[in-house]
Amino acid sequence: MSTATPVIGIDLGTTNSCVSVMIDGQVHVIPDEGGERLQASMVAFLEDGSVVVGNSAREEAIVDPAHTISSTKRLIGRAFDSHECMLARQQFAYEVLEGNQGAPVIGVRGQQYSVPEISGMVLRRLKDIAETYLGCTVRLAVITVPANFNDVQRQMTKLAGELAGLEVIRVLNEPTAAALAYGYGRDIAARLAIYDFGGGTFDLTLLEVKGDVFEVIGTAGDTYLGGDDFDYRLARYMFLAFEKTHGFSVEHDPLARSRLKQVAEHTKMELTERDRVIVNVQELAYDDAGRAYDLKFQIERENLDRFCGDIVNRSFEICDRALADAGLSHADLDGVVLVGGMTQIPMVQEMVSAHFGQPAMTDLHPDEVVSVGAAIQGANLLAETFSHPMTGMQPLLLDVTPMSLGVKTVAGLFDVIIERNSPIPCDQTRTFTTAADNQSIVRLEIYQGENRIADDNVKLGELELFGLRPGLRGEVSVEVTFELDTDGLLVVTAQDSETGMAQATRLTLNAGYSAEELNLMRARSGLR
Amino acid sequence: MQDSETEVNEGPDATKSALSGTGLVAPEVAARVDTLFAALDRAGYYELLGVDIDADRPTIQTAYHQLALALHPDRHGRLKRSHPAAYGRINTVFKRLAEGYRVLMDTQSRRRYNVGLRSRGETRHSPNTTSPREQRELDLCRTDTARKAVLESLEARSFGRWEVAYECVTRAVAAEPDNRGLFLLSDSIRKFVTIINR
Repeated sequence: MSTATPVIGIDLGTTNSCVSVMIDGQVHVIPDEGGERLQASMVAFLEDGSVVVGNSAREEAIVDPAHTISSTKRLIGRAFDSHECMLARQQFAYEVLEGNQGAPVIGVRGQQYSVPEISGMVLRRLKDIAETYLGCTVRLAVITVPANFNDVQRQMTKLAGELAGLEVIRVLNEPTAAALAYGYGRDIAARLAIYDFGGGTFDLTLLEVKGDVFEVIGTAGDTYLGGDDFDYRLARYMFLAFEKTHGFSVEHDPLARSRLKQVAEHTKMELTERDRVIVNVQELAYDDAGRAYDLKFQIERENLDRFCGDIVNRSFEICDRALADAGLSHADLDGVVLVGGMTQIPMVQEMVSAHFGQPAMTDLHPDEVVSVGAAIQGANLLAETFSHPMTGMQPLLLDVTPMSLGVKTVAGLFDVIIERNSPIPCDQTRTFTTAADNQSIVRLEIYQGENRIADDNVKLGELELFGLRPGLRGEVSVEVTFELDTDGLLVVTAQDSETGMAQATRLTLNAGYSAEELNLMRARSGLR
Repeated sequence: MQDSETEVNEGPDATKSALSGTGLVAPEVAARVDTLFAALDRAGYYELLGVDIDADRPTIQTAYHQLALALHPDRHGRLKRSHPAAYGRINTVFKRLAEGYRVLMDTQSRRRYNVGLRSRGETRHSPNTTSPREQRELDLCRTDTARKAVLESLEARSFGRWEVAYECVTRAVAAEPDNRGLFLLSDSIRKFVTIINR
């Protein structure tokens, strides 16, 4: 492998991100100028108009939370009126507005930014770090996403990469990347469960490794169960402690909220090392007279364990569902790999080991393992003839789609076209027929999810078959092929059943952006 | 990117170019892709994957892995830009192999597929694989246990294994003893078995 055209592997996390690269068969986790291997996924807009990204933005989040954008991964590809987005808005100190096509828009210092633009800024920072480290231009990247991200979330992540000046050669599932990092160069035969508990999401992926083949056999998850949840619960505990001491609540003070969220994050990490943490947050709030109030409190490991217990138990329900779907039991697993910041908490490790009846694997750093896997896959996809220098391995990932894809029927039911856990790439063809004479357009609503009622799933967008040839109702029919490509992204093509002529289609993503908006974003990112 | 308007159909007809002409695919792999591609319209999953109809799951998995190592589109990413038609052909072939793999690795969908393949020569699995008559038999069942047993019975009948078919439907009746429809079904199969065994 030469470094002439490096591919960087990026784990774009909810709270932190990490970038790696493969050089001569060795993976390097790339540190920034200060030697930090993780970057906060944060963008701060300062008063003087400058923009600070990454770890330097972290301090800004404490002093100026309204202008420091974090956790955008919770918003990306979501609709403004989605439950997840509303929840996030309650917790965030910065302003989230509704955009033209129902996508959330971030308002900061009189400007409006799309979510992919903010994520793009984080990605650009990682690109810069890699370029400094490598001493050359970086153009190609593999970016990871949670296994249960839907099509819009994947598309928007890819767009974020584009806005950062990167060509995203693969959108890779995080647990699959982690498995690759574990199995690469080891020539093992094993059935693994990847327990991925990150800042904002949880998922479990079951994977079989046989020599060069890494085959995902099933995946399940919750895009809204994660360490963030946990931090907010811990922060709430602190709010109650404050209220108890001082007799008034500061829970609705955005500055106090943001500070306590960070105190919680920090306390959580401290508690992984010691049994008790004493915290003194100075001048957390002021009363009307301008008098300052501190928050002093002490928290024991046991408190943390109680919060953990709930959240981790919720994750086990998902684990057991994934195993049942694959027709497996705990005893069929050869190993459980831990990924994500939450899995560094000893209590989580203990609970996972107990639940699966075997010690969890932790020899690779949970915060870095995903980007390491992404870098391996990046080199693998690019190489003319790629092989591990030691074993001659040429890994091949066989991944699946996490959610069923289908259309809404006239009765409002969900008609599944591609079932969840289908290997990708894959395609399925369906025939749609006109319902009226000389109908020129057929509209289909596309959903992803597992509910029988279409509206209980996530609506991806609308597909229009337009300019149909004239004919009596029922006489014109179109064969529509729904394809999930190697990135797991939806591609739609159609042809007239009778004439075999290609039929025009138009796919408009829900919470997506118009061509003009996209051009504006590209222009602002300096791409045009 | 959002409002993608496509008018290109990369179906089988669009990819006529020979893979070997690209110089980027090993000759034996190119030959394999071309053979499989030519067979897509008529061959079933077993034939495409190169396994027997009664192959067990590990055998099917091994066959699929071997094919994937050679034919997965990620193994031929270099063709994507330079030879899109050749890449499309590999992609089309691999998608069908993956489809077959998925159908055959799941016991229930494999049974349904076998019924369609054996009874009507349907080489691909689809929502309509099961005929209306077969579906009526399945719809008699109220429990999963009975439904699985009836499906197994349908499969056995498609192979001409009538005794097995009877044994399966008996299990369905045992699961739902008060189901008159199932009882009548088992009775008719029993009668047929007596006739052919005479």
